[in-house]
Amino acid sequence: MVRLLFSLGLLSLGLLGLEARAQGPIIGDVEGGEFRPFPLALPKMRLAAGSEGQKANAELLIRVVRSDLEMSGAFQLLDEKSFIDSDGIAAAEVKYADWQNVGAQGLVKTRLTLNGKELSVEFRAHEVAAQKEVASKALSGAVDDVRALGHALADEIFRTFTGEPGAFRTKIAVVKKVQGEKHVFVIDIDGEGARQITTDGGLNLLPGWSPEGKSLLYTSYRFDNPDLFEKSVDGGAPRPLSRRAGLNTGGRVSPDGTKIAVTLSQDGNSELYLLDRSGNVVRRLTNQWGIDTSPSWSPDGSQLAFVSSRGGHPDLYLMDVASGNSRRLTFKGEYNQTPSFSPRGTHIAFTARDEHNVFDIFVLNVKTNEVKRVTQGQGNNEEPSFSPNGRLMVFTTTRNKARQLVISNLDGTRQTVLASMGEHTSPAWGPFVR
Amino acid sequence: MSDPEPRLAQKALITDVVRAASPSSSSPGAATLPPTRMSSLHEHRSGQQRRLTLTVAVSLLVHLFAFAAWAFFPGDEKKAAINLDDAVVKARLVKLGKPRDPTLLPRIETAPPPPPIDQKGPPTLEPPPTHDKEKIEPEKKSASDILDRFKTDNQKPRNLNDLIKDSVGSDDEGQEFGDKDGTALDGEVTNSYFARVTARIRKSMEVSSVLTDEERVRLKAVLCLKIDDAGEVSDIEVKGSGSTVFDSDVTAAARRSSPLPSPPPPTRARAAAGVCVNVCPISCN
Repeated sequence: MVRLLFSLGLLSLGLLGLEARAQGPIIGDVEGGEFRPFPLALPKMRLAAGSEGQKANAELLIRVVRSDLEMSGAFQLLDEKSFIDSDGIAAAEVKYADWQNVGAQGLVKTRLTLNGKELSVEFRAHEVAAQKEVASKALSGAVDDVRALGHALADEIFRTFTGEPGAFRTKIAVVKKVQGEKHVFVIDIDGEGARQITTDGGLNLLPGWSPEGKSLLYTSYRFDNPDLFEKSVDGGAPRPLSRRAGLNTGGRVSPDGTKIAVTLSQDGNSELYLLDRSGNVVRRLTNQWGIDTSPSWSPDGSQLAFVSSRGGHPDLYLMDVASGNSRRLTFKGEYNQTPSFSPRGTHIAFTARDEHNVFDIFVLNVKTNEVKRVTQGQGNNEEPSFSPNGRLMVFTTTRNKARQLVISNLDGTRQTVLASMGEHTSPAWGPFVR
Repeated sequence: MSDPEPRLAQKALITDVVRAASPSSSSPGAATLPPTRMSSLHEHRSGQQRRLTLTVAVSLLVHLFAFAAWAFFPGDEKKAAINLDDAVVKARLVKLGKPRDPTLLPRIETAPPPPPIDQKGPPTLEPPPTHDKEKIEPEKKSASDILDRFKTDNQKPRNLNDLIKDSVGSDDEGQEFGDKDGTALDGEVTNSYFARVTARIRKSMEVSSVLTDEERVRLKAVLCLKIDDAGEVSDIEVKGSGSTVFDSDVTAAARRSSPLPSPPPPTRARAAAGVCVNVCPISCN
């Protein structure tokens, strides 16, 4: 009996000891936090033996990559003046402690080689805290298009650290005012490399991309009526898609590339229609007394966000394309327009006029209908369009008087005004480069 | 009053038992008990010993079981009659004003503008110039004016909030029962020391923007730390989320949040032994 009691006592004390060694109790949850850019060190590009003459190109490449990554809002590029940078580019040669001391969480080491008329960049990405190399790759590009190689390198770095594709090689279609006319241009996302797409017609508006990124739909007054045209970004003659009486505007190709949502006013009132790729009417989508316009496809092509004044003033609505049923999305503000569906399908960016009669950018959560403000107190900001990875938006602003383009993250905490000259309207962010 | 007879008889019996148990101490001439009574006493004594042993054994067993039950099933601490942890309350001062019209678009909350710069020159010793034309003549009042003034001044005292509201612009946004010096448009109250610890870590938390949407939803790390009496974090341990980037964010937040508020005496032992929090990029649910 005594032995049994003694054993029980020992067992109890032993288990108590185990309890004491276990981790402490959970006292609560820490949820959320400020999203902050990932501190990344991008030291000078090394030059391979025999490529010492490429110093200027190496510096340009680093400038392009830094600019792209900073513009994304996801990275904080550390000041290279604080770098010791006396190590090599491979894991065995990297002195991780040096990079940890400057606050880097990520490190990208690069080396440039000139091969004839091609530049080749070897890059190695490291996670500093884990002290390991996480990616290595070689990219090459024409020596006379260093900026394109820089954007490709930025895409690879973005993909390495986020697991998502970068959008730095994509293009933005935009309408620019040129000598009293308005023409569609295609530019790089940093505002460089502008290329004029339309050359006649006088007034060309509201460009929209085909899903493969090879052609643009736009409305042109070349026949003195707002007609819908399609034109290849590589040139060629514009192809008329809809030349019906009245408005033929806002043409947007469905994600599967088979249909076009467009606003037509052939019956006297602006209504949404579905056309096939040749411009034939497939179906009328709306039939309301109010104006219905500005369609934007959901990424799966099952829904259309659009603007309607059926409730008394312009508001955003969401239509199930198969059934034609719509529901109202916005209940705040009295002038909500230019919706742009996020490629992730979760949000819709739009322009709204606030109580001070200022136009600003807002983002609506499709699931909860919650509206968040992106811009405020920075002039008028209008016509948002999402990047294909859904991380960024482009929109126009008058904050510096002339109407310029802004690249912004979704909460507006990182906004970059593109220093491109002239008046810009109706930006449309193109698809991924394939 | 009790009868003394039985007590005397009991005393005599005890004396007899002692003598019988100690034959060496028995003195010549002492009375010896008959054998039948001796055996009865032995039986009585052994019975008492058995009962005592059994009682002690049962008591020990019950205590051990109770002790083990307490160790294994400590129960819900929230059910304690008095929760000494709830001694601390932290609140933000809510701004006085009208609640924002729900039909208006949201605004980004910004810091109030700085007060206007005083354009007056430095004070001088000279008395301010007086102008005869601007001299205020005492107003001549009629008896009815004086009566009206008397009535106004002697009205029932108004609500203090109304008096404060008079000094605040009617267009200011805030809450009806806010304070004129308030800065927050909405109220937030947290209580208990550990709630403050959690709030401090939350404030220091910065999540790397490179996390994907999927990671932002999925990741969950457990941060364990020990807090000394001064509030200094003495030990940080992160039980991995699966992302080295997020784990680094959590470790950095714990470092930044030190020193934490000093734990009040009832919570010191628990804080020093170590406590843990779940940390998630967006939500732990």
